[in-house]
Amino acid sequence: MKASKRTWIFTVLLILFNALFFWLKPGGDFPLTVVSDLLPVIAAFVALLGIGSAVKSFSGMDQTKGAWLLLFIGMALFFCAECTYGALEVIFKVDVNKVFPTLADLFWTVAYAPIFIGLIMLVTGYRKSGLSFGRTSSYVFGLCAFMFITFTIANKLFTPIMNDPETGRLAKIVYLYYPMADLFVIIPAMILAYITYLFGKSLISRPWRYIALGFLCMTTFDIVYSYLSWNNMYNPGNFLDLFQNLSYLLIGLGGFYQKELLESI
Amino acid sequence: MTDNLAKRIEILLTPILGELMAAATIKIQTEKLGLKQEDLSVPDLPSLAKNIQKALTIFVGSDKATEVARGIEKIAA
Repeated sequence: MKASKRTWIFTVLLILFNALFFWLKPGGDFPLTVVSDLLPVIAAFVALLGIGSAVKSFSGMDQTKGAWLLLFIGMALFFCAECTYGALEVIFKVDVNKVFPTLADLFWTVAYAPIFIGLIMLVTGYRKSGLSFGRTSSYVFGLCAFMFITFTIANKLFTPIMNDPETGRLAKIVYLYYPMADLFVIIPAMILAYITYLFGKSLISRPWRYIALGFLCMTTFDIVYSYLSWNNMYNPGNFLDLFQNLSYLLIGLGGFYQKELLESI
Repeated sequence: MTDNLAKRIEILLTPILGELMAAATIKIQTEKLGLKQEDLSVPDLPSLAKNIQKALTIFVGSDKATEVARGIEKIAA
C-alpha cells in the first residue's frame, strides 16, 4: 500500500477519534487535556515524516529541494513546539493560559520564517517556469479578500491587544506576531492553491494542492485560535483543534504525494 | 508526422501534468520557439525539451526534469 493511501486512512481515523473524544469527553478534564495535546504531536510527526520523505526523494540540491527543505525545517520546529507545549501542560502542570509566552512559543514563532521562505521559493520558482499564472482578475479578487481579512483581523484582534493595559509588552508582541505571520503565510498558500486549481487533477500539482490546503487550514485555525484565546474562550477539547490536526495531516499527505511523484518519473 | 510529434509529447506529459496543462504547455513552449504545433519537427525537439525542463524543475527538481527532457528528445528515435 502506498504511503499516501496509508496516510489517508490514518487521517480519517485520527480525525474521527479526535471528534468523538472531544464530543464524549470520557474521563473528564485531564484525559481531554492529554488527548488535546497528544494528537497535534502525532499529526505534526506525520507532517514531518511526509515532508521528510519528499526531501529525501530529491536527488540534487536546487531551488525546489531547498524550498521543501525549508518546509521540513518549519515542520520540525512545529513538532518541537507541539511536544514542548504538551510536556509543559501535561507533565510539568504549567497553566499555559496564564504563563505566556512559553518555550513552545519560541519554536512556533521561529517556524514561520522557513515556512514563509519555502512557500515563496515555490511561487517564485513557478514564476520562472513560464507556465500560466491564471487570470489577473482572480488575483484582484484574492487581493480584495485578503485586504478584507486583514482589516477584520486588525479590528477584532490587533486593536484590542494593542490597547490592553494589563498585558505585558512581550506577551503583546507574541500575541500580535501569530496572526500577522499567518497573514504572510496565507498569501503564498493562496497563490499555490490557485495554481493547483489551474492544473486540475494532475499528478504534478497534487503535492502543492495538499500543502496549500494544509497551510490555509493551519493559518485559519491560528487566527481563530488567537481570537478565542485572547477572549478566554479557548479550552482543551475545543473542536477547533480538529483543523490544526487536519492541517498537519494534509501537509504530510502533500509530502508523501511529492515522494510518489518523484518516484513515478 | 509533424503533428504526431506534438501529440506524442503531449501523451508523454499528460500523466505528469494532466491533460489540459500538458496541451497548454506544449502550445506555449512551441510558440516561444516561434513555431506552431503543426510545424514542430525533430530538430526543434532539443529546444522544446529544454523549455519544458525549465517548466518542470520547480515541481520535480532539476534532475527529474532533465529525465523528462531526455524522454522528449528521444521521442523521435
